[in-house]
Amino acid sequence: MERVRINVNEIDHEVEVEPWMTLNFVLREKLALTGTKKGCDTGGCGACTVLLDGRAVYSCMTYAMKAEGRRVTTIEGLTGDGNLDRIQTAYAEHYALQCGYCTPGFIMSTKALFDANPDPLEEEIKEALVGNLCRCTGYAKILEATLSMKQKRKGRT
Amino acid sequence: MSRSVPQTKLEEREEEGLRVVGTRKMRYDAALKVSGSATFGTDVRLPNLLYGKILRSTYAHARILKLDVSRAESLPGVRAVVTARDLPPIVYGFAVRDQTVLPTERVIYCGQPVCALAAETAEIAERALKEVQVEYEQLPNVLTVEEAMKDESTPIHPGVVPAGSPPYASKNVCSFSRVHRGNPEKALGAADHVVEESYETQQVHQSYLEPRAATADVEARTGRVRVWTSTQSPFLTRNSLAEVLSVPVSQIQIFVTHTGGGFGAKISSHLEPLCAALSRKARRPVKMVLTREEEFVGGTPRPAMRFWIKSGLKDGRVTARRGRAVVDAGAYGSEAAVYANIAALQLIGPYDVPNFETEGLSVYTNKQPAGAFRAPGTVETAFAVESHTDTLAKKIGVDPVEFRLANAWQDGSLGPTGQVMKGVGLKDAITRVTRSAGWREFKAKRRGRRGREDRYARGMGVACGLIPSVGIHSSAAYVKLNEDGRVVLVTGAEDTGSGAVTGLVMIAAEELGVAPEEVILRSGDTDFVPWDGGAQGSRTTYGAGNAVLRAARDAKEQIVKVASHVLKVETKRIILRDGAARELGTDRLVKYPDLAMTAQYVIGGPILGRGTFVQDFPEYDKDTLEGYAFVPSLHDPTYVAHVAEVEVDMLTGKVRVLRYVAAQDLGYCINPLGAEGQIQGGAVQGIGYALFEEMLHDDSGLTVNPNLGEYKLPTIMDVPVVEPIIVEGHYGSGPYGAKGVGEANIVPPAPAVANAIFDATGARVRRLPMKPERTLEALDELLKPTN
Repeated sequence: MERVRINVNEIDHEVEVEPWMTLNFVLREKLALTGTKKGCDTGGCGACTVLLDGRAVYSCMTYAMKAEGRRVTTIEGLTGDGNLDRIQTAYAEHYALQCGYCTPGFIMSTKALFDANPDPLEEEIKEALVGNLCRCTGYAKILEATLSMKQKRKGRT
Repeated sequence: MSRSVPQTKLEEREEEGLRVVGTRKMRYDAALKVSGSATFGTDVRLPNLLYGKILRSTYAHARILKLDVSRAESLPGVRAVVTARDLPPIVYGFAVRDQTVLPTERVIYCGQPVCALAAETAEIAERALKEVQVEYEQLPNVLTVEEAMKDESTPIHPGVVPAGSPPYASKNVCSFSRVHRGNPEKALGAADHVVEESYETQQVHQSYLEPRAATADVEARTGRVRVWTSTQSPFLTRNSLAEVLSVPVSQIQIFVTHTGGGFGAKISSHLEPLCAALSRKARRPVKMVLTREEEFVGGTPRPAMRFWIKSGLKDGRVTARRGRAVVDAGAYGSEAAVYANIAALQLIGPYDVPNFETEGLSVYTNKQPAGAFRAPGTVETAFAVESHTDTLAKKIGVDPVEFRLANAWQDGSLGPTGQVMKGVGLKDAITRVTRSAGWREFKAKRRGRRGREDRYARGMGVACGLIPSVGIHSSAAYVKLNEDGRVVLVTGAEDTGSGAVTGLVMIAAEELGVAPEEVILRSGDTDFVPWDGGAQGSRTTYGAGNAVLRAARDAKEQIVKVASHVLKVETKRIILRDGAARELGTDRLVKYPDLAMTAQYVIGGPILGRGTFVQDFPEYDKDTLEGYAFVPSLHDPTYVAHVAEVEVDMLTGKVRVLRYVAAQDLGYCINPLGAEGQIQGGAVQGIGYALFEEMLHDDSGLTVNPNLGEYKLPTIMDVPVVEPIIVEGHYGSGPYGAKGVGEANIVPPAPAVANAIFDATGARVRRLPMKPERTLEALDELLKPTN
């Protein structure tokens, strides 16, 4: 066991971890932040996606120790003020979810993309979301929701 | 008390002016799910929790010589180990009694649970599994249906009685179903053309994103079993759990969590019996979550199937058919028997075929047992039938769309077992989808320009399908009015993601004249909610929807009576709108809070409506059926027609779907936004089935691709945005004329893509998935000299 400091959703946590423990395990089992899902444990589905210093990572493929001293954002971090943020609102309004199990992962991947690039091309959106599987929606309404968030700028479609 | 509420006619609906149903509504659970606060089966946490793990067979077929759990039991942190001896000796299965929770003598597939244990942490449980000593004596395994049906093959379930009295002597045939009408032999003899083909489909996994998960807590003193689980059907789970534990159903209480997809696999109990047995023994709550690998090796996938189909054509019509479907049942027969039964019904497709004889059989092999998966028996059969339909059209040089329109069912056509079909929207769906896809323009532009020299070939294919809005299993609902004017809807129905329960909320809101946001949904606790057959067979909107409609109308009647008392006007002069009962043509009204208080404190008794739904199978000709018939006729089918446009790389064989248009006849659409989501999602699952997905086994029966890296699901890059078309007007007997939605949309993609490949290249791929090497094989076949 080793103590590591991880900032999760702007709160500092000190947790005891063993070397094999993943960030996913720490978030879900130690911090009870179950909004981050686990779908496969092998980096195959994207349901566990969180932001590590602002970049989307698979929390099931990230050792907890690697998050030492770093900033982690999970789905719970998006509703800090109790209201849905604009990505969550877009997903809800566009019916971009069905069973909802993949949804936190998709929203975190979407956030990483839009934080870095507020006006992505459709192809860039697809590239950002290719690591997230959805078995319910066929992706159409997810794409619609993300496209709706693009800043309207001239010359780009 | 039995109440019969007549179906609302369209005219009546228009007169009333529907305000909620028919509009595009967000999911009632959207905010919960986008914020990450919905609790799924995997998220359940209880104090004092233990973690359960399963030891699985490493052989496809073996005798268990020794099972010694003593070392595992004595490992620090291990709290219980459960073997077959800890469970009552129940052999179960709804069609074939061939299944046990844990084996006593033999294991019959690789991945079969052998024993289970619970420990303080999942890691200790994993370690303890390695301490269980099992000695096996390997037995000859049977991995294909050909092998299984040979005289000398090993019987997998000696002595078990198959479903439907198969006329075949083979030891491993576990079910038989046959449908016949007219005289197919004579009609084949009289045909202008006879075409005979074979097709093959693969084993695929439902691949819901949430693995199976259950948490059980058995109270030591009373033996009462409480289970938190992500299930499609809490009552079927409760009942099957009661059966295998040999306890009365009232000893079991199921709490349904949010369910991260099921697609058929989460209907009955699976993990729950082991979880409950462990908790009973450990006297502590136990949680079990499958790993993704366990989902594959120990799951209940869609079985592989083989088809033989032969048709006679006369004057552009299909006049005769013979067909056979063989289901690779895997280790247990019950679910496979349903596939075989449905295949026999679906082998004529949605077409008028006056003379036919079709049969379905299922055959045991040493593989994962077949389980339900969205449109079981239909998806596979449609690949054979709809590919074959294109071959027939080609044979007589008729456009595939024209050929289908000439043979398609319409009102008055006879279904497979002789029922008279009504509300058939198939031709409408075909016409709308082909118009929207630009079928005629595409074919005209390309006529005579199939460049063999081009690297990429483009083609467009069509395929159809149908799925009954299954009325079996009853549904019931309660609706009550709270003193603040809000409405509580209590239902036994569940929403695994389909959106059907949002439709139920909309129906209650519509009938009681409130906004959907004013309806509080309560479900998912078998002690309090009324019985419901669960989310299966396209039945929630149809069956539970009717129950909610009736419950809401019962409440409405009570509200009107109270309002009549308060307003001193006749009941027929009262309408419900915007949260109040109003006198027609005046400003006089009584708001719901006042009305509820009056009901409760002045008149006495709450406003509490109840409604039920149950429906017998449509009338059919019993002489047309032989053998096992779980489904003898078709409740109000929903019809689908899809068009795929593909590009085939002639060099590599890779197929890309460029455009996909999907039409579905829904009768009346309660929530277009949700229905579109179902149509798009079903189509993409179907495209995965068509092109990518396949569970592979090695010679020892081991699944060799048990992960989402090697079992390829479609990603956002692999599929186009599916263009949905909702066809209305051909009403069913669901609420407001609705039919089921959830399954039919996965039916046509595989044949639509196969027909598009055929259109592009002239090559016919007869085996799924249509991965590059199979497409290349089919292309090579074309170049072979014909004799």
